[in-house]
Amino acid sequence: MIPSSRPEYPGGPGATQALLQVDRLSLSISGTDILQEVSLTLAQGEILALTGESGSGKSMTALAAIGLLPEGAATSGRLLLSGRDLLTLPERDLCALRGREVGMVFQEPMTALNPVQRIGDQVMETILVHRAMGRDAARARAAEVMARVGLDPERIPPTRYPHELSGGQRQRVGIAMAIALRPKLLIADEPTTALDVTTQAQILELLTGLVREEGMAMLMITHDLAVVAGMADRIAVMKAGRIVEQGRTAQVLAEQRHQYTRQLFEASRHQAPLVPVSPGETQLSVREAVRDYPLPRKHPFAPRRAFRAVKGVSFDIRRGERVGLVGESGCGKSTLSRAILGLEPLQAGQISLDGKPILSHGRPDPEIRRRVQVVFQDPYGSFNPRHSVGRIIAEPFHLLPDPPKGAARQAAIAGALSAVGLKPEHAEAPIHAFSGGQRQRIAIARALIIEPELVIFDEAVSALDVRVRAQILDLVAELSRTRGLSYLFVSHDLSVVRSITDRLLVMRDGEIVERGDTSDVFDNPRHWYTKSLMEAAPKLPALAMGGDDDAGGKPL
Amino acid sequence: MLGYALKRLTSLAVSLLVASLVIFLVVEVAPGDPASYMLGMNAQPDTVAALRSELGLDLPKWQRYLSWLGGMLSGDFGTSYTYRTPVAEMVAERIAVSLPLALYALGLSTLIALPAGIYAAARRGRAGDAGVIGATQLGIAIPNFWFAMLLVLLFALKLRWFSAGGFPGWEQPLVALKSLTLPAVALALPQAAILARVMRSSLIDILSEDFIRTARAKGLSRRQALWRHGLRNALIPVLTILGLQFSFLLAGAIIIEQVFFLPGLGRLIFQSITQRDLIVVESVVMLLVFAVIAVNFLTDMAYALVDPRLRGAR
Amino acid sequence: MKLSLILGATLSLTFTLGALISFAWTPGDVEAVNIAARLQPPSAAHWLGTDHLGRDMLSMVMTGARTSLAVALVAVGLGMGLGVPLGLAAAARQGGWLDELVMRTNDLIFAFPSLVIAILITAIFGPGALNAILAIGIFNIPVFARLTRGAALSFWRREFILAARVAGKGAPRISVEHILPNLANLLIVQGTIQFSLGILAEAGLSYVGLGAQPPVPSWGRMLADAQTMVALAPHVAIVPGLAILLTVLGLNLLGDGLRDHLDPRLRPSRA
Repeated sequence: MIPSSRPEYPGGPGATQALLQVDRLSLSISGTDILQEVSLTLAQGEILALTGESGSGKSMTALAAIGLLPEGAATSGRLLLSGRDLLTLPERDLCALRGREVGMVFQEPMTALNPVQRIGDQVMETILVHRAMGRDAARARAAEVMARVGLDPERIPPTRYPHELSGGQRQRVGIAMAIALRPKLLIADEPTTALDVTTQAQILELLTGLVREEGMAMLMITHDLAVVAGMADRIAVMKAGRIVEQGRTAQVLAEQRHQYTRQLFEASRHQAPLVPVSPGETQLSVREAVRDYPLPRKHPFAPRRAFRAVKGVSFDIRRGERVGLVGESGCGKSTLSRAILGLEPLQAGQISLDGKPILSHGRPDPEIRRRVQVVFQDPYGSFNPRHSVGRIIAEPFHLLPDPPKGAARQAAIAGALSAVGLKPEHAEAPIHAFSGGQRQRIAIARALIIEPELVIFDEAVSALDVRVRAQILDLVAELSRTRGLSYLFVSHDLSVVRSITDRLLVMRDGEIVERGDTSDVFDNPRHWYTKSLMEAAPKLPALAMGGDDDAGGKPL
Repeated sequence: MLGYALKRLTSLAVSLLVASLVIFLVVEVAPGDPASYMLGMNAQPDTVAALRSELGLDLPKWQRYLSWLGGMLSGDFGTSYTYRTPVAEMVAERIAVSLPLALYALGLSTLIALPAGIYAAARRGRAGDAGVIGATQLGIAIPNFWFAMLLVLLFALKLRWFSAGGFPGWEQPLVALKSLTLPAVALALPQAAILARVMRSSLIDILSEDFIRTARAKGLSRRQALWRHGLRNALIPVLTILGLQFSFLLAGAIIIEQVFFLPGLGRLIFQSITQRDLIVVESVVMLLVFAVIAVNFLTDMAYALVDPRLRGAR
Repeated sequence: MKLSLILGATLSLTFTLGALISFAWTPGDVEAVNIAARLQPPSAAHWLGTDHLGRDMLSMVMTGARTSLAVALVAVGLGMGLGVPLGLAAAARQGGWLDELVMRTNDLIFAFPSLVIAILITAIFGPGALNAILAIGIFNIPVFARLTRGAALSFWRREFILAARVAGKGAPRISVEHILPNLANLLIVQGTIQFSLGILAEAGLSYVGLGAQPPVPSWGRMLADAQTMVALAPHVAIVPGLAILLTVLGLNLLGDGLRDHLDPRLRPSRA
């Protein structure tokens, strides 16, 4: 995986000369403390992973290391790069240093590039702004770097604009810009979080290869321990603005001296306690479902074209069954789940519940629809910001011919809140008073209040930090046990689906390419695409969990 | 790009067609018969009828619409009921005042607004920014015809630098331009205030985008990032406003022409209304609408030049 | 920016109060002509001086405020009352025939500068305050329709709207229950801006004689009357103009202040 054919870099893993030295860095922005006494060192040629949950301060540490802290930031301590303190360096010197000695790759490839400038020019700009070479030489160097990051000049010439590229290709452009002048330090802030798993693997491989080949040091920011485990020489774990543990990767993962590290590690490989069930009769039946989206016309007289998002998909879910649907972005899994909810019409085929079609004459039948409910991904966008929790949870009562009123309604809301581990008095509170994890509990309460037979979890834990994610997965498993709930768990994340489903559907380009019992598919994937997904998924090493056998010990 | 242009051109043609129909129908329901107006109160009914048939007023409505439309397409705007001269000639004479005035004002407004907006955005939250914001608040609130009166009061009546009104014709271009200066300033300043605000807020929005941070990480200074990456992206909403402003300036010129006694389209249209010269009203309104729609088309094309995302067939 | 909110509210309130008081009482009679006392500069008897017919300017400004505020308010009400439902409906059926119709009609109205609409309407019905309202109001419809549609569309893509659809709610119900309340701030802010633009437009129309007709007092016509007297008595031109300027400024400051106060992320267009 690591191409180390040309070990010409000075030092290498274990070199002692400190390139970056952060010494008791504290940071506050407009009076709010963000970082407290953070100390780090990074040697030349070394990869240091900075990990932690959202809000732990890891991204701010990265921005500090390239001198791009937001306005109103007050710092103390020292941040030395090659012996110069970036915290006291004047802006002019910082500009000369950014891009030349430190390069940075950002998280969002979709927005990190200037949409109105050609990609070749954007790469070239790094070189030209530092007057490192003449225009022609710069152009040649840009072409060289772009080829190095895997942008084939035949397919992706430098004259392309960002919108003509995929997310992975844009991230390659971002990397090319960052390394065009061979900086000594490369900072990567969640560089693969917005990408699909197969693309993620390629980008990680590219980054590691570049660092090893060019002898750069890399500060890698990531929330994903599995990503860290595969590539970093050393790890630093952050929590609430402090570094709680740091050391060599293998050592940190093996010893897990700090309780927080242990919690993160356990949550990352968490296996929800799923009780075996014996499925009953067929509940949901999807037959040859086809969903087309019209594409805009090329010109006013062109024929209408359509994009087929779902191409004749068939499957069943039986009573009590827990089915996973995995695939990468754009594979049609969300479209399919919306069609099951009756939110989108089909162009061919049928979806029926208990033998009755979800949509009849294009209109959903309330009696059928009330049997399927949904939990969406975004804990912030899923609720009307102006409504109270009680009103939000009670919304599906609209589907009942005779919804409960007064005390019965309050009791139902209280019951739903208790079922998801919240308190009945939370019903009065406005939604913005709750954290992401609590919000997903509220979303589940909303789905459960009219006692549906089937719940669709559409990426329901994807936006959550690992520890919260583990708790929500436990809740889902418990609801399955206590209520005999059937569900379809839609996710891009294999490890999540693995822990929470009996049966698995793998979707690609609008078709289901593999299906089977979850454990069978994982142990013995047959379709090449499933295999590549599994290979690409970053894995936590199975070390150090002495005594822990099957549950946590499996890779992935 | 071609598909995009074709799409825009089609919608331009459809808009013009619908607009012409609307204008025709509106003028059609207007009370008052032009023939009776022209001949006065005491005209004989058969004289009126003869004039009606001479003017083509006795033909069915759809036929008159088609002949009006067809005439305009071939540059024949018909004959003024009042002056018995071709409408095209009258309009051409007046446009020679109104169009230069609108363009003059547009130029002034852009010249003032863009630098002011960029300056304010670059100094966001500082004194310079507050100064620009305060000035734009005032500029937006000033009625342009009142501002025009104040300009006359100061520069024509008190200082006597400019004449208080009138237009000497284009025989002496510099003199003509001078007589359009006060009207153009009066038109331009309130528009410049709006444009400067749009420029400022658009640039501020863009400066918080991820790609600006990327540019800074490459080693660009704040100023370099603003000029090289911010400006072109920020120009997109500014173009929209610029397009809208042209039509506003053309129409606004109608009022300002009253203040400065300029013989432009505005004077023509007011005269024609009082004289019931509906064919002139129709033609001038159609012309203004055509200008607006054509400028919108040009704005759309300018978008495509600035933003490559629009150039693709999509 | 609390200051702008206070200043804006004070200015707007002052002129509204002036207009309201003028129904019951004005310092002088706005219909009593007194040529002997014409074109007097501001004094203790006439705080803002007198006009070319010897009428008290302060009284004229107060009654003129009535016309300006009423015309602009009704015009904005007309624009909102029709534009908002149309925008909501268009967004609910994005890409449908209604959406197409609303958007194309909008484009068409935008192609007619508001002054041209006013001229056309005057050409048909003759000048008057009602026609000024109609002309300004028609132009406000697409402004609100477009704004509402755009903002509503962004909400239709949000997951809480999907959740409401899963709860079996139809588009009209979702529009009223979920979308409209979330647009309220945006509409209030744009409303104050359109209100101030309406006052400017009304002044312009009455200045060229297309707005309120005598004896209804209006700021625009006061300026038209003042035009020939500017050299003799500058105050007759300065006073009504300042009244317009301060009212519009007050409303704009109020709008900006409200925007910052209600939701700093909102940036309504000033087009």
